[in-house]
Amino acid sequence: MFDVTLIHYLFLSAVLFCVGLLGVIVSRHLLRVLISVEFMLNAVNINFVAFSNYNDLIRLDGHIMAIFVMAIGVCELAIGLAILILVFRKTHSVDADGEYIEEEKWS
Amino acid sequence: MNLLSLMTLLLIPLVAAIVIPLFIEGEVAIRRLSKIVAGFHLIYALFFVLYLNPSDGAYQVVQEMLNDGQVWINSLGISFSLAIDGVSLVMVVLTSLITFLAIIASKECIKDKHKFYYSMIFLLQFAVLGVFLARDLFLFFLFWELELIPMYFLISIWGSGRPKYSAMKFVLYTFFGSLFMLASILAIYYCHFMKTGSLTMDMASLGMYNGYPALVQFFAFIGFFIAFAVKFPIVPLHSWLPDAHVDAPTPVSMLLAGILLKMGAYGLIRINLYFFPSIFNFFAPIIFIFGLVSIIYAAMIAFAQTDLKKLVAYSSISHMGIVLVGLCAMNAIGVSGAVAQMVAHGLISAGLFMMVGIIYSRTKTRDIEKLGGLAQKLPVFYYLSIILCLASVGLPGLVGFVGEALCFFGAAVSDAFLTIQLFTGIAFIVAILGAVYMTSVLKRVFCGVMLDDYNEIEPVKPYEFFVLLSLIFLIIFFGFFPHYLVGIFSVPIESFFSV
Amino acid sequence: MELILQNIWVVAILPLFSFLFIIIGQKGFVHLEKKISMYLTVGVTFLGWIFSVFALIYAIQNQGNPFQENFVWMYSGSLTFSMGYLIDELSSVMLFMVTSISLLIQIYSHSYMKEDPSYHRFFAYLSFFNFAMIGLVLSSNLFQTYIFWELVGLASYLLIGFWYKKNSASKAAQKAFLVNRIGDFGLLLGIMGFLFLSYNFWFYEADVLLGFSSLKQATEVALVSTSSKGFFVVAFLMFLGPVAKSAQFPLHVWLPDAMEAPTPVSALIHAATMVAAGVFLTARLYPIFILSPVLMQLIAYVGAITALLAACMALVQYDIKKALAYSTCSQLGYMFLALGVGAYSAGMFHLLIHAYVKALLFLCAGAVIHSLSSQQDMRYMGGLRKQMPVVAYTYLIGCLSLSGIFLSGFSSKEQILSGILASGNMFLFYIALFTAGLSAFYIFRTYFMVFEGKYKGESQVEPVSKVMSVPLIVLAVPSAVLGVLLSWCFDDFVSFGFHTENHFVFLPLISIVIALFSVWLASIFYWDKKKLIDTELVKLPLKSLHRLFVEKFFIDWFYDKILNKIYAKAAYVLSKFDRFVVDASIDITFQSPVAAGKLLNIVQHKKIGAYILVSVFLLVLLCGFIMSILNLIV
Repeated sequence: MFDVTLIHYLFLSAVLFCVGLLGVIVSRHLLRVLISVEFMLNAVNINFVAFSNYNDLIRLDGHIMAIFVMAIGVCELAIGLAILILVFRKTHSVDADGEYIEEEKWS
Repeated sequence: MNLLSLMTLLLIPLVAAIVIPLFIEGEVAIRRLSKIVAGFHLIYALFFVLYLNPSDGAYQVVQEMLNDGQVWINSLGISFSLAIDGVSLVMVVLTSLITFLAIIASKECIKDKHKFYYSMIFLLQFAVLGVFLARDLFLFFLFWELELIPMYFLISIWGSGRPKYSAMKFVLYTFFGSLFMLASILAIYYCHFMKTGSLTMDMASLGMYNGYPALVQFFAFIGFFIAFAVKFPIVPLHSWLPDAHVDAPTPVSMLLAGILLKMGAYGLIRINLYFFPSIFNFFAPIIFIFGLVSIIYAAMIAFAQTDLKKLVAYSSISHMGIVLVGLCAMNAIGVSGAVAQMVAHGLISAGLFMMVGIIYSRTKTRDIEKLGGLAQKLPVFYYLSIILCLASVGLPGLVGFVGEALCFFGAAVSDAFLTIQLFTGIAFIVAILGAVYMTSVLKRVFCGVMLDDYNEIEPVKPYEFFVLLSLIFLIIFFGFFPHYLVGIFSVPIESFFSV
Repeated sequence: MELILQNIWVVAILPLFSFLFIIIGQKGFVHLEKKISMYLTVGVTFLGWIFSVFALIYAIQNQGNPFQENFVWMYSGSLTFSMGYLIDELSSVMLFMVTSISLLIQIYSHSYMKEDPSYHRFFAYLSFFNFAMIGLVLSSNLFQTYIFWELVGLASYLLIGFWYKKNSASKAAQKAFLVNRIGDFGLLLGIMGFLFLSYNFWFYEADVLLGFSSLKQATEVALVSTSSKGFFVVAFLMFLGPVAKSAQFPLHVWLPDAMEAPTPVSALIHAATMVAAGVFLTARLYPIFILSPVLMQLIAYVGAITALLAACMALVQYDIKKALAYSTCSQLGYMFLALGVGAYSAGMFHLLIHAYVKALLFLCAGAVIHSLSSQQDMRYMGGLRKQMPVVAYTYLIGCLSLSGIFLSGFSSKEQILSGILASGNMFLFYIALFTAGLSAFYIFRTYFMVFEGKYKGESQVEPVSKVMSVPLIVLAVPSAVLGVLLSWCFDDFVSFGFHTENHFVFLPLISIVIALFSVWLASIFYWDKKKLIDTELVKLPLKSLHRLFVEKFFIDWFYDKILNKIYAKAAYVLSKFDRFVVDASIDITFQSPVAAGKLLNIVQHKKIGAYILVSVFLLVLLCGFIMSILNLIV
């Protein structure tokens, strides 16, 4: 078996991030966009843990940060889903490119 | 004296702001609770006056929120620390007082969304108190920005005319100013860090440190000055004020004129003057000219106004200009005068807005041309209005004179710059210009022949009398015994200048 | 004695309490019985009068040794403002004069204002005026003087606008306030300038800031620290205060309009006491003024011009109160003229005499107006001597005294004229002499028109009540004999270091001849019995002059133009500037991001994916760019 070095983790993370980004860019369904964002967050988490594991074994800052990001991700997802449901109720559509943004002028 | 805690003083309004919308039902109950809380807060703040020893110059009560031996945001040197001295104490008491009276005055102006309204009032009080109590520059900025949120809602929801526009203008204007303030805060914070190696946002240590490069001082001063000038407001950054006042409901106008404008002046003293005295000295002629322009320009425009509320708003700008005159004197007399003028203006302008509110609620118009002869129907109210208007003019025996006289005498014996005496002479013309529009108001609104429309107007109600009388009592009391006012803050100011 | 002097502040404070008592109880406990407020006010003033007698005795016994006490009112930085009281010759005489006249007029007012619904308010205001005026007279330093100076102005403002239903009354009140404000502006500015010049003296040597007792030394310090021009400016600004308060040219315009006030007020405030405060302050500030010879000249000329112009305007008035008001202006001008030429004690003496005389004349006029149910136009009076003999004879005493025919007025006018003569300025002397003739003419004109001939009015003449007659008789006594009694000792008592000597023995003769001639002239124009010449005949050739007098030399017109045309227009233009330039530019600034956003709207096609793609692409580019630059640098 070959050694799993930092660069492998970073590569994995980069791939995961790109997949997430692609998901955000191409998907029109808002739920899919949210899931893709989670992909991206987890890619970042992998980076954190990897760096922490290889560079800083004492303070474990990266691990803490990863947990922090996960917590924030959960919150974000919860709020996002709530908004999604509200949007769906109001417009009967969850299309990201849909025409349902009201304009309010400042005057 | 452990009962007196600055943290409690600060947090009472916040608790009220949270409790009221969550747990209280019914308009009467909400209003009663609000009055009780605000009244209690006022009494609590007054205890600080008794407790504070005015012979001690520096920050007299200091408190930090300690968290296991660490400050609030340890890594950035930000601490949740509060402090109070004579100058901020006066402002704190003024804030509690005006909030209390504004809540009483809200009885009939506010007809819907009571929960949200009183919650926002208390949030506003919390934010303003935070500004006056903060010892940490970051905290100061935080509260400075926080105050915008309740004010936006107070104007835009309960206002009349074009409330959304005015509220947004107010917010954007202040925001524009605070950007400069943020940049300046970061600049001195960074410089302090680079020079001394310690990260701190503590106002005392940042203020005492005098190793900032000249250029940084120069630009930081300008940045702070712009932020405070917007709040002040100094001509030509004043145009949010008349709109905001005209569209806001009466109690909110009282708060706006009574305490929010003082934040600008307070910042100017606490930061611009205390942090960079030498730069202030350098800029004193220019600031004085700004003050001069504010005084004369606003007084002249006030004369041309037909909208009573706009007139009072412009007179407010004119009177805040006097504060600048006092500050530019750069001596203890002038700065004491500036603080006294701030208090005087807070009391008087709140009273004047109340007066306009009472007239408007009776006649449904604020147009001076359409008013007249109200004295026949409301004689007692007429006398109270005379006192308010003449206090605004600066008649001796009323508090307006104390502030004006100290500001002008301070400038007269000052050596801040060469021609200050000449400028003071010109600025003093406010004594005439102010009298011109204020006596016109009295004449045109109250005297002369009464219009038939106003035969049936209802008399002034007890709660309105209570607000007016308590303001007028203070106006006369401090006018006759100014030492009870000046004595609170003269020592810290003198000790600053004697260093 | 000591006890009374130490507690003399009570004299000033008690009227304030009676004011508060009446104002607060107006609707409640005082409301039922009108006499409560009258007794309270009169009682307090009577107490003040007793105190003033003791103060006068003290001042006579201890000449040149004033009694004063001070306490701190406010301190800030290096300035300590104090309040206190100073009993010296000047203030004790003024105090006696103010309290005695006040007392009589308050008794008179009880009858005059009986039917007025605002009876209590009137007495409350009178009490407040007493508080302010006594505070002004007793004040020990310039700062305190300024405070009470404005407070008497406030009392005057309130009393002029007493009948606020009348448009003219509120207009006159505003005018009085504004004109006085100009004077106050100058006075406070002058005080500040003086403080600036003599700051070191007050800071290091004096115990009372701006105290009158050390004014002389401070002036010397001030004179050293600046050029004579600078000193003149400061003194001139201070002099503006007296000019406005004592209705001197060119700030005299408010006094005739102030006659909108009830007549007792006109007598008390706008004839006897408050307007004389300007002369009083000038006397107080004499140590400053005398060191600026230019200013002394100016004071003399301002006085002379006012005396002359006001006398001319008094010639053509038909409103009896206005005629008396212009006469007041003119006599005050006389006092300033005296002070200006250095006849200090003569000026003060005239002030004292004139206060009693003018109070008497106004009260008589008030009695006439009251019994003719508010008729003030002299063309509808006449022959009233038979209906109200007491009023007529006391008025005649006042007239004789004012025109300087043997009674009190003779001795004071005499001193002023000899003072002017001693200064050697013959031009001023002739003006003064001419004005003396004019004043005899106009005052007897009013007498003949009101009391002689036959009645021309329509309304019923009601009898004058006893309460009103008694003060008239009491006032007639000092008006007749006070001058004679005091003429030999007054200039020893109230003096400023030097005396004026009468060099010209025929002076009394000349002035009496001129006065008698003027009276004769008035009689042939206005006394129906002896009428020789119709006034219309004289008016015709002097048409333009007559117009000038009637239009008050166009001074009112000029002020009106400045305020209502020029200033109002400027303010209007400025407000438009504020609205359409300052405010609009801010609006444009805030709306420009919106406009810019609309411009960028073109690239918006509402495909979120595409936005993100573009932004990520640009971000990567930016990162690459920054990294390559960093690579280059490092």
